[in-house]
Amino acid sequence: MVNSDSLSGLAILALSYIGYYQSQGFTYYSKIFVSWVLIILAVLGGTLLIKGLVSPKALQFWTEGAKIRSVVLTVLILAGYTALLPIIGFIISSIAMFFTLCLLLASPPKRRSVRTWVYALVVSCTITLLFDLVFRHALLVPLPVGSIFVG
Amino acid sequence: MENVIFAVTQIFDPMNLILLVLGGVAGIIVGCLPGLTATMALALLVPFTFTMPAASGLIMLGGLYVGAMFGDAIPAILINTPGTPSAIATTFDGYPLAKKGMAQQALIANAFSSLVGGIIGTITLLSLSPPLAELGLKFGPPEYFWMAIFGLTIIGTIASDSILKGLTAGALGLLLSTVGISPIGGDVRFTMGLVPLQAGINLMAALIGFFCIPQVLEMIETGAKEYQVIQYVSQKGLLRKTIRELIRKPILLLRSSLIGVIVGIIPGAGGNIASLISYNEAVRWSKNQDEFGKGTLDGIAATETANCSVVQGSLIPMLTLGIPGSPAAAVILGALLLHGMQPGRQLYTTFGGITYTFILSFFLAVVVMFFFVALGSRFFARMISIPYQYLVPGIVFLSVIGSYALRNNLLDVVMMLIFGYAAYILRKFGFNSGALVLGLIMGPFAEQGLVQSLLMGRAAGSIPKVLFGRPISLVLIGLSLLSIAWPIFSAWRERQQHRKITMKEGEIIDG
Repeated sequence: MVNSDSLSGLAILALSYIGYYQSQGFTYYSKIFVSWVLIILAVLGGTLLIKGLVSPKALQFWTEGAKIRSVVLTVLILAGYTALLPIIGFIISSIAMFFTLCLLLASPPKRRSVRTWVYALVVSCTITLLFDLVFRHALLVPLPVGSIFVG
Repeated sequence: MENVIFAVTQIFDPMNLILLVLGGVAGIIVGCLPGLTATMALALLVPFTFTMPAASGLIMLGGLYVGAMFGDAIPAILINTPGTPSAIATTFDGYPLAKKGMAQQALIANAFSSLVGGIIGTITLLSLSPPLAELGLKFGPPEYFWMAIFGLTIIGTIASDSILKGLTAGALGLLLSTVGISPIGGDVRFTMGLVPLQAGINLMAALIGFFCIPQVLEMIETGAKEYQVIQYVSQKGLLRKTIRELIRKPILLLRSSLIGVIVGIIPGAGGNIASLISYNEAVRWSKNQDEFGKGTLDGIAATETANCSVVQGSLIPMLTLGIPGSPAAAVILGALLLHGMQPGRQLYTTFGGITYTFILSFFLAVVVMFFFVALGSRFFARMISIPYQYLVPGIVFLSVIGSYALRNNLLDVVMMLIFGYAAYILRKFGFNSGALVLGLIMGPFAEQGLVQSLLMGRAAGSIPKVLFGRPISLVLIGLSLLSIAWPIFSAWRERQQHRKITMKEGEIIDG
């Protein structure tokens, strides 16, 4: 059983210590507010730790029937999308992210149907190209082109 | 007067009218979709408004906020699920009315009540905010410091599940606000060697991360829901008939609007609290108490009037003192700061034209939204059925593009995702994202106020006298203490009442 309050308290105390260690080199007026915040944070972390020890509360990270696999895969897809954006550019990476998420979140029977794949591809391409058009040409925001396409 | 004339010309500028309608319709759609909140939609929209003139951007944001408050009652009435937490009380009578075959009347009552609430709320915002902003002129660094502390005490209310964890999240937000070059002293703090972080944490990336990503992950975690929308056939003449019926109840509408405005002004208390209090009062003062909960238009009028007037109420402390009355107001505060507009008297002098444009645009927004919702609810109801496999990637896409577009910096996207994942985990541990964001926003005000007060105190020869000896500071300290004590007292009173009920039940069983 993971004690939610104690674990949070320990993490907060560790963070306060790291913050304190880092702030040692600051000058007086840059340090004063940081020091107060770190003291408050340490006190709150300590209180959480004690609360967790006095009245332990088990951490229930996932609710019953939670789609853990989908959440973990979404987290990985988003991390991959962010990593690929500067390399393959906005259009390709966005279509890939949108399409993959559409398929991942479709119900398992629908996932196997060709219609779902076609819909997902059409929606992904339409939305990405529409936003690219608006941002690049109307709002003049330069979206990442991708390092493999430059030079 | 000059500002008002400027505001009117700005509001009726064709481009701004289009933006107001677009924002409003987007707000209604967001309100219609259970699981999406007005705060999240505002956070997503702010980066897109950054390239616009400040007045246009604020008109669009105001339209969206109002639209969401109009739209959230549609699913509450048609599928018994509130679109946002503010419409919880609307389900009490909205859904029973729809089941009786009176869905159209319920939707018209929602539109008309929201219109009344919006108009009364805007009049209050217009009349109360300038004198309050004048008071802001008397503020020096100590007052700004205490004002920031007072703003932070909202945490007690928004994190009522665990005040301790709420305070911890607020302190974490304060610590995050110190990342970058310190305002007085000039040291580079906690940047981990990353140059873009020297300018501090990008507020918009943080807002999108903290409010949108956890919500998306929670939607994925719980999976898609199939909603059964109650269908109805439009009848002619119902609009006039329903409005006539509601106009005959001016006291109910006025009382509910005032409850909404007052609750909105109180930092931290949002639309859900306002509509519940208003519903409670409507039941208490009604001659037909038995009809409530079984489907009465009075129930919808009470909740939706209060729910909509909260919008303007929550903007009063934000525009005048920089204290956001709700998480949504905190996002609008972020938008103001991004446009270089500091809350307070400056908003009514230097930026008077823009501020009055923003305030007066609410009049038009509520009228436009009234027609959209009263006449187009059937269309918006279809939005409830958007498949979530398209909705979720859409929100993710907007989150990424929104956090990137502000500075064209991929580090902001990375930061947004990190904040989003952290907020998701923190929520699991019972920490509140709203409290953390509040700390992040209030941090710079608090730090500058504190350090400048210390400098003033040293020059004057007594730091305590500067920090604790000024009249406005004392009032703010008192308000902060009250604000901290109130949720603790409420929790204690609730526990006592619960204990009494349990004891009575025990006696009955024993007897």
